[in-house]
Amino acid sequence: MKIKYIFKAFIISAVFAFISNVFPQSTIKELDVDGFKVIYRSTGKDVISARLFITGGTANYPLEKQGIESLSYAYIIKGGTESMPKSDFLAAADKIGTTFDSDASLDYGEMSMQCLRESWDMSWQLFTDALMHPAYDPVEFGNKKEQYISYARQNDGYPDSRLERITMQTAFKGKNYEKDPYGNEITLSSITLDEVKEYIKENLCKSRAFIVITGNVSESEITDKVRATLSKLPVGTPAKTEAVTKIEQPGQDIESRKISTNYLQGIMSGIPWDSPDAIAMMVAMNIMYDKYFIELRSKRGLSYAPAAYMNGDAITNPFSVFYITTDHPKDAIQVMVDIINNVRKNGFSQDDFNKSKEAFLTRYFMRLETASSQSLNIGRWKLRNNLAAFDNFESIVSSVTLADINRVFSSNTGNIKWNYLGDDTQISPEDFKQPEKIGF
Amino acid sequence: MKRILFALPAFILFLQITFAQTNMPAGYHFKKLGNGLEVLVVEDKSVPIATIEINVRNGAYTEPAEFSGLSHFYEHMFFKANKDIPSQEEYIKKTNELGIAWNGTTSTNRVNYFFTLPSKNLEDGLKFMNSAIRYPLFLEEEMTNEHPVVNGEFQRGESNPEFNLYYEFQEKMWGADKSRKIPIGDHDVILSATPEKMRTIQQKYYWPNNSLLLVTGDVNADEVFSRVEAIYGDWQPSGFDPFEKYPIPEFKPLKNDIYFITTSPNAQAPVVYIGWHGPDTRKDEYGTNVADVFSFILNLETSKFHKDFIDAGLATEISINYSTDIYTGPISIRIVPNPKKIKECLALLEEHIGMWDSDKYFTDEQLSTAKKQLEIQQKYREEQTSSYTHSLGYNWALKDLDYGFNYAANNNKVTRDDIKKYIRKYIKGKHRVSGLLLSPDMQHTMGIKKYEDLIN
Repeated sequence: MKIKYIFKAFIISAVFAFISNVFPQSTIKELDVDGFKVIYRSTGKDVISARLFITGGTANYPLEKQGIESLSYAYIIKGGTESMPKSDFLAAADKIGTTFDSDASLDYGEMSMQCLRESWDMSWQLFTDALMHPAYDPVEFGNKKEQYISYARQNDGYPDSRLERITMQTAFKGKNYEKDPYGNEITLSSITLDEVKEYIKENLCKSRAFIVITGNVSESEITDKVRATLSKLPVGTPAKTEAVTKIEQPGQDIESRKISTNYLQGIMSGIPWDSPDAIAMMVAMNIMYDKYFIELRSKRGLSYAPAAYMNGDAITNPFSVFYITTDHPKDAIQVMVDIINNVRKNGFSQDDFNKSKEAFLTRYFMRLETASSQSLNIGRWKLRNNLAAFDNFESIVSSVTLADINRVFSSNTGNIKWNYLGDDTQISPEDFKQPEKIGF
Repeated sequence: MKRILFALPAFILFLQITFAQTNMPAGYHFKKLGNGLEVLVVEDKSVPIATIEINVRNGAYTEPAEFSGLSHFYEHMFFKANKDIPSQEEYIKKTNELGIAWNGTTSTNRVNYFFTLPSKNLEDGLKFMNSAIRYPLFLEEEMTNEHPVVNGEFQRGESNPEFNLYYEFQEKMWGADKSRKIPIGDHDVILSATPEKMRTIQQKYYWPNNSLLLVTGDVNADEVFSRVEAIYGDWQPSGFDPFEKYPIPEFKPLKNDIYFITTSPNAQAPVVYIGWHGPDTRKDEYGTNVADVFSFILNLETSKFHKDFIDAGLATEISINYSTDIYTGPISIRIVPNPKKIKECLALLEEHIGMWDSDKYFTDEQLSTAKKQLEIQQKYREEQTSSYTHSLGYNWALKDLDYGFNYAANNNKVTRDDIKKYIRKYIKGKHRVSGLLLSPDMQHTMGIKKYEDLIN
């Protein structure tokens, strides 16, 4: 379980991916091994990452079972196998330094393995055995469930986590995105081992899963290994899809909490990831991040952590976020909205635009340094139905124009849904209405 | 041609004052300038970016109470006006122009500042860093604006339910010298920070002979050394050893066991911290390796420690950590106990501590696995040069570059006997601090009035 949003300023959470033309590296390759989809990229480095993605995410379970995906994957990936009890399994992995991880998100779940080249064969065997022949030990299930209930409780105490939750619950009420991939105390408590077995059976199938492998490995090695293991998964059925939910009504929700400062974020619908405009929107939000930093932090001292970014995990219903923590919420929201309105009215400047691209690309490159971050980025672009963007990101960014970013920003910032957590006496619904006041 | 002319004098200088660190890995290059500035270059051409990082021996450990949090405040001021850049707004424009992703951190043992940028902009980046490290202006207006910003960072921490436990734990562990272990500092000191105090810090610690410059990534070592010499070579040294002139007091040992309960209305689960005073890199360098190996064994999911608490349902989280410090590193345990079994959990913990120096507590295989794992984890960290740069700098601040270069080899020397000695020297029978976090509701429902009720 990852406790999210504990971040240092200046780090934008959206992730980007492309291959440098200056430093040619082997490009990604898609394989079909007896009906199982594989994407791989040879990096030449000794660390190997294998990341299994399962499509669907919140579409794969009902609201009353939210949390089942994160619990199920965490349970099986380190819970031992039919032939190896948990302690033997973990001891074998520890001995060779291989690590396993899992996560659940809005549109996908994942289970991953990281190892050194020298331990690749053994690590693959452990990884795929855990995926395909989990031990399903009931005692271990009980412990894992208690652990996840405790995480869910603690998460609720963290203001960023709580703010995210109320944002999703209010912006996507009645839709898949309303569900918390990590669940809550009530839903997690209701999940049984039989339900987990059924969940794994239904979702670990060729129709929903694919794997991304990055590192110093060859195509033939991968083909042989996948053919002997993951290709034997059942075909299954594709994940259910839900019509796109657009945030069409601006609004605000205020939740009172006694904490040391106040947390505020606005979300607005984004642009489909398979459109070239998605990357234009990423560039626009990157410039907004700097504008917020200068105006809210440097000039006015209103916040340590203002931010603006396009959420990288939301695929079916892409959205962007404006965020701040502040002691002066009335002043902060006024400045945030004024900046949005000003850009909508007058556009970004040529200077802002020209200077923004290089730092934007540097941050991207920093995320290409490890096999693990590469496998994550490749998988996300695959899920976004735009795998080519991984290879062509630099040229796509280069082709984005000032007119593009002004157009996408203006047409996607009209309906912002705000959520506030903190001292409710310091803010009122009226404070959020600036966009309407100037006639947008 | 230009490059050859540029490289020749640098090569002569290189012969004069370059020396090898004892266990420097391949692809690493080291040089100490005449003014005392240490320079480490790590070549990694896998992506076309470079990282420039300055580490300074400053941080919470150098802070008396009236400076609590000001190393961190100084770190914020680094990214503002200097003799070449008139304001933070211009500073940010310049970072964008050069394609720089930037940040800084302040911890107990060091302060670091880093730029990652396209390698083609390396020279401009080195100059930009030089202006910021040597010529900050500490403008009154920028400082006033920064008071609520730094305080806001503190408030974000305070808004997390576990903060009260963390803060009170530090107070109890370090007593009157707590400021030297709490980098975020004190609200009042932060809100009254002045340019004079910034200059005091600068004049004590911001010298080339108290700093390490790291340049890593898609770079050429010889070119970097030449450029660094040209840009930083005239940075005047202090003429004194900051730590001789401004000595750091030793932490006073704990005089008795301390127990406390703290509450937070937003706490959703009980959390226990237990801590002892442990080794440090000045007085027991090898002890810091032993501490890391021992902690690693216990944190293995296959350890007795993990199994008896987590697999037995007494706790949902348990871990032991040793934090390597220059002055008295803390050894600490964090537990999220099963609320219904807190007493049982703490009683078992006592049994375990009693067994930590016995032959049966862990296997030889677990000892060897822990050592191997520590080595492999370092390889994983090395994969990301831009962030591994921070680790290299941190190890330098703790002692010297060799401390990091020899880390894995020293871990590999650790024996069962070393661990027994470590447990007996720092943990078993030694005074400790124990704290429990509850919400007021939990405290009422569970009927816990004081910590001692749980252990007697």
